[in-house]
Amino acid sequence: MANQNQETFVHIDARTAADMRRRGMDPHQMEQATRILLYNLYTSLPAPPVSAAACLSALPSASSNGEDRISSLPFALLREIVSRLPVKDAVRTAVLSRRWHLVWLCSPLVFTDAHLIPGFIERRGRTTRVDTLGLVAAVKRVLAAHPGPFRSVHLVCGYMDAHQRQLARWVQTLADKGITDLVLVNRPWPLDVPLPAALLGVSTLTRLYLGIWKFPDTLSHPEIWDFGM
Amino acid sequence: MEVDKGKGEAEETRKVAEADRDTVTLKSSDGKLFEVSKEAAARLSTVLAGMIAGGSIDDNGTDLKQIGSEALENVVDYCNKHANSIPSAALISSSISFNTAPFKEPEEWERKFVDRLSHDALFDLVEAANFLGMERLLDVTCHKISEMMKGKSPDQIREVFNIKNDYTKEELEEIRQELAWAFYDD
Repeated sequence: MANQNQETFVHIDARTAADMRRRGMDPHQMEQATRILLYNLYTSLPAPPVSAAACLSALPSASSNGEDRISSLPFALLREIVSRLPVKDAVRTAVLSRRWHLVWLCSPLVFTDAHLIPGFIERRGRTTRVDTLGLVAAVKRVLAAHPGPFRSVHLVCGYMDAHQRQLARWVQTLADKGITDLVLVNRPWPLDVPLPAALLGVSTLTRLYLGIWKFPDTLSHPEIWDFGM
Repeated sequence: MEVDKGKGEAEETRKVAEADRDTVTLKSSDGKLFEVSKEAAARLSTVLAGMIAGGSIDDNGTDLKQIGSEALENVVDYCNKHANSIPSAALISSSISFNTAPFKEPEEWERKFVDRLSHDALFDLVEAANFLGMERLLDVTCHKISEMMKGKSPDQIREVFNIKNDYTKEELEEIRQELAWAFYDD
């Protein structure tokens, strides 16, 4: 019976469910409410900056005379191209040739953690904790591997309650590497994981979307002009 | 879009006429002439905007020696299509609420516009857009090129773009190890 119930929960962890039963509440109702909350949250967030879906249209065949047209483009354009790739595709361009290794290192990071969980976007967040087990370590690798600047980072899939110290280090890394566009979501439960206050002092931010956090007591950040919660 | 220009007009008449016209004439490296909406050219290309404002547009065809006729035809076609297209509601609303978003998604007609190009025509167009300072067209073409790279292995990408691997075996192995996490699914 207990096992059966756990199977049906995506959002509520076993401890929270047991706690609710003890207090005479129905965890299924809370599960449903959380599902609606997350659905609304994910549909109102800015879309991920790059799509993971591969191109379905016919690709033009390679250059007729065997020339490498792409590598002779100006460096700035190659950076633009690499920044538009999902993060793993972007990293893999580093092995193409020596020039491309430099391109990857110099391309501003555009990164959505949802791309590390196949099918996350399509399933609108209906993934379980099990799907996100390796996520925190994977995000850490990406943030460490890229020298910056961070143009756009969307971290929306993590259950951060168990990783609060890691979260504080992420905020430090994001600040050090000049993050400008950040979406940071904690997946419940619980609902009251504290947001690291240092985040609100990151001066490079021009856009910040947050959910679902316990807010620090003070808020003053005049530079942010597009602030979503 | 190619036009024949009558010659022999007096310089003065031409200058006056030029100021009143709502198109400008551009000349490709191989001497072909194309007419483009002045408003769209000025809006979409910082270089053409500068030339129009600075009066350095030649009614007999402003020389663009770096751009071949096929690429210039695509540039002009793009500008004229843009002049006629009404921005979609999505584009307007996104430019208001999300205008610090890192990339502007191409519109449906812009996707189709680059999808029909051959490999070489696509790269000629990127280079022309870069030369003319056409930010929006660079967005669209860079988006297309990134689409061509998505979900492919390095070997597949090298094949599509004729990229020569100039690493030694040892160097390649070292880099692959360093970035190993990108080569398997978590």
